[in-house]
Amino acid sequence: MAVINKTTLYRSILLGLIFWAMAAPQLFARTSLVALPQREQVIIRLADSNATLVQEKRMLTLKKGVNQIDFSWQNVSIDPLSITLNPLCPPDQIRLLSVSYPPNKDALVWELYSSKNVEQDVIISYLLRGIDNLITHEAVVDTKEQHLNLNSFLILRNFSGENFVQAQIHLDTAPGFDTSVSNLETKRILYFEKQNIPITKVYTWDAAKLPHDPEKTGKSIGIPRGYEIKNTLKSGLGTQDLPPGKTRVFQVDSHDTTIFSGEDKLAYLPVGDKTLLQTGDSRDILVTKRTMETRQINPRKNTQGKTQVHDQILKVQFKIENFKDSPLTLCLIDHIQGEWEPISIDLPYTRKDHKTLVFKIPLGAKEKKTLNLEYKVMNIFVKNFRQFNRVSD
Amino acid sequence: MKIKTFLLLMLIIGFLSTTAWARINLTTLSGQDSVQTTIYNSADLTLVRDSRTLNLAKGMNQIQFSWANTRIDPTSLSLSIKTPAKLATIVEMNYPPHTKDLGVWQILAQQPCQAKIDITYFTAGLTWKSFYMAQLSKDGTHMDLKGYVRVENHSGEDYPHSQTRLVVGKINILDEIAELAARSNPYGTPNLFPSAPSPDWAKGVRTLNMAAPAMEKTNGRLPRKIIKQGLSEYFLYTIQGTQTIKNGWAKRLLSFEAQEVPVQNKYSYEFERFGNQVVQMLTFKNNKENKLGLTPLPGGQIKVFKKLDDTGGLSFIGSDKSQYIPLGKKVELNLGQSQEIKIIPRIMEYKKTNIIFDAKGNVSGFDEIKQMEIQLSNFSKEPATLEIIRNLPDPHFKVSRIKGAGLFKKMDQDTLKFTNTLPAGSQTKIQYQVTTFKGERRWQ
Repeated sequence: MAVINKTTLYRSILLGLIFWAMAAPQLFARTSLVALPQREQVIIRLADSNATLVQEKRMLTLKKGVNQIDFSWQNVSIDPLSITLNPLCPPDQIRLLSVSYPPNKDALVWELYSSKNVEQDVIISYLLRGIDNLITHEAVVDTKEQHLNLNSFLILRNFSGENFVQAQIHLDTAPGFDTSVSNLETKRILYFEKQNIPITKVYTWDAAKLPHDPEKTGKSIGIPRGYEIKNTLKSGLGTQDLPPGKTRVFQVDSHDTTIFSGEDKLAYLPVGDKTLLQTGDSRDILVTKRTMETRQINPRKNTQGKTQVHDQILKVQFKIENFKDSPLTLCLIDHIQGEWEPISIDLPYTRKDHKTLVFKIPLGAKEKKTLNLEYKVMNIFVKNFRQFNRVSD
Repeated sequence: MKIKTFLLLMLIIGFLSTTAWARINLTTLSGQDSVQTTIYNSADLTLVRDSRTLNLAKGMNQIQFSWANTRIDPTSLSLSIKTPAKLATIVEMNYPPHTKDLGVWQILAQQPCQAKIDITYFTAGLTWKSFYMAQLSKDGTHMDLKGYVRVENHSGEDYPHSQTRLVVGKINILDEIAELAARSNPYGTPNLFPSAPSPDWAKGVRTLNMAAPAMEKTNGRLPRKIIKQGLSEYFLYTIQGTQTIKNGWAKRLLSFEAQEVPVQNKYSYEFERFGNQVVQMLTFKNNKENKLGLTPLPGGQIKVFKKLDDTGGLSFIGSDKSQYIPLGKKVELNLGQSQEIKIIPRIMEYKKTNIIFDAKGNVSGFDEIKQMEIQLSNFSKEPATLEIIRNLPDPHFKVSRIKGAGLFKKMDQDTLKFTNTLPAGSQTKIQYQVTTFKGERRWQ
């Protein structure tokens, strides 16, 4: 006579194991109800905001023969296709026979065959919605703006419908830790901190983003400023990727307290890479760009005497003024469209790509500088093929 | 078959002669010999084969078949006499007036006999889909792949102890089975009168769902095996033994299991396909060399996990939906954006040369030269294979001056592919020049 033992795992609100041992599959002649052993271990792996992998280790008391285990859940969102049960024993000892889904219920029924009466550890895994994490960072910059202290917080949001007691929380980018988190609870946990990370303060003026003649705007134009951070061992980091998140930056003031100097979203920063945290604008630097001369040369005309192709010589002047009483380095970015070549450019620069020139310009306290560019744009089409005067990616 | 909403009655009316009702035998139908369900996944269609034994009297016999509250297509009803085929003939089948969901066959028997018959019909509401779970090894070079099928029964009828077969393949159907099942008259009406309203299936199914759930009796102590078999353009999965799939229930069955399937991790950049990001691709081939290749793999969602330790610890990597995978085909799963691999293509130089003019002196063509540079960075702790696809807007071009490690291949007239393997924590560049011929220069 076949023996079917029935076990129920009932999640959320009520969680219990009902163990049904039956003399015959049709008859509840001999029924015993056994309380579920506590979950020995719960591991929550936070990786994807859409689904969090939960792994529960439990000990099931199985009778020799076929055992039924009902796994059902209420008020939690579990991906039913993701649920697996793995006995931590050789496969010939316990075999999974079938998985069934009852109608109109968030549940499934496993049939396990056990070769003997046994208490067996199993791992039940499933993808759960409603529990995820955010990362926020707090950076405190020293008075001289040369170093910062970084604190990273894990915001654990549990709206899954389930309470977790002493669960192991794992992130891809950080070591695991144990905590309890109830349903509807949000926790903020410091999971990473580092002191004295060297930074470089960066001011960036980009001709494509800022007005060329700020005086004419009638407004006070700020130049974006921020701090460059490198995720390297030399910087005191370099041991793990820094996950993306809102970063609030504070600065130590002269009273040894701090002021809030702005916030930015830190991009995902893998080990070995660098990023820029832009915290605000500086209105103590003034950059004015003026085109001083445009000269058409080398015209090529058609039979009607109309120019079809020509070259152009341009003279551009930047006036840069530092009103601060401390030195700084300005990153000035200019863009030149089309086919061009330099004639004379005052200061050293790097070409980020064919059209982008990047100047790193050191400015002393209260210093003014002038940058002159003279360059030739060649083969400008007047009628046919005009769309190729700008370069498409 | 347990008869609840689905009623199969045999009304055997034996005639001593064809003109006189001298003796009438009324008998309920004997139990089923077997039931077979063949479930398609490309359409909501299941072929049900109900095999029975009938005791036929000499003369005309009537077999009534009714199917209230099910989703059976009445136009698909068919009865065939397997044995003894020569002694019994099906004279006609009719759908009596004023009686819904009822069909009657007239069978003429030349002498009393026991007949083996098959009744076949289509029903809607039984469906199946496949899905997969992959567990990558710790080093990411192999995976254990499990394929599952999930069979769902919302047909309005239980199918206890039926042989279940699943069909992989695309079929052409003219009418939805569910629509045919909902008709008031099996073949409609000649449009003389407005048709009656359709029955409320959802209500019927709900009523049926109240049936107490019960598990199938498992006679053996091994999981059900699924036997695969190619058949013309289709592939047939036959689940070993019989299955009970009660109305409203679903069942998950292991379709196959493959251990240590070699996989390749690849990072792809193709702006037109993925936008300005690098995506992680997991590739494997459905062939025997890679421990698969026994059957085509039906399309379905694949969830990919990574083994973290030997005690069952897993990490969810991502999921993708695969299309139908024929034997021998390479599969590419998109596991989402990679944060640790960066690919930045740039134009470093731009020139126009060989400008030509027509007879009137207008520009008629030129060569556009772009010096390209692709910066590749691997910030991960593992070596990474990168594949960069560049789609050019104009097919009239040539590529030259290729520098940098890796492989270059011109895929077609306007597609370039670069492949490079980067050690952990390294950066490199690929440089090449694209000369595009514009206007009349295309004919040079």
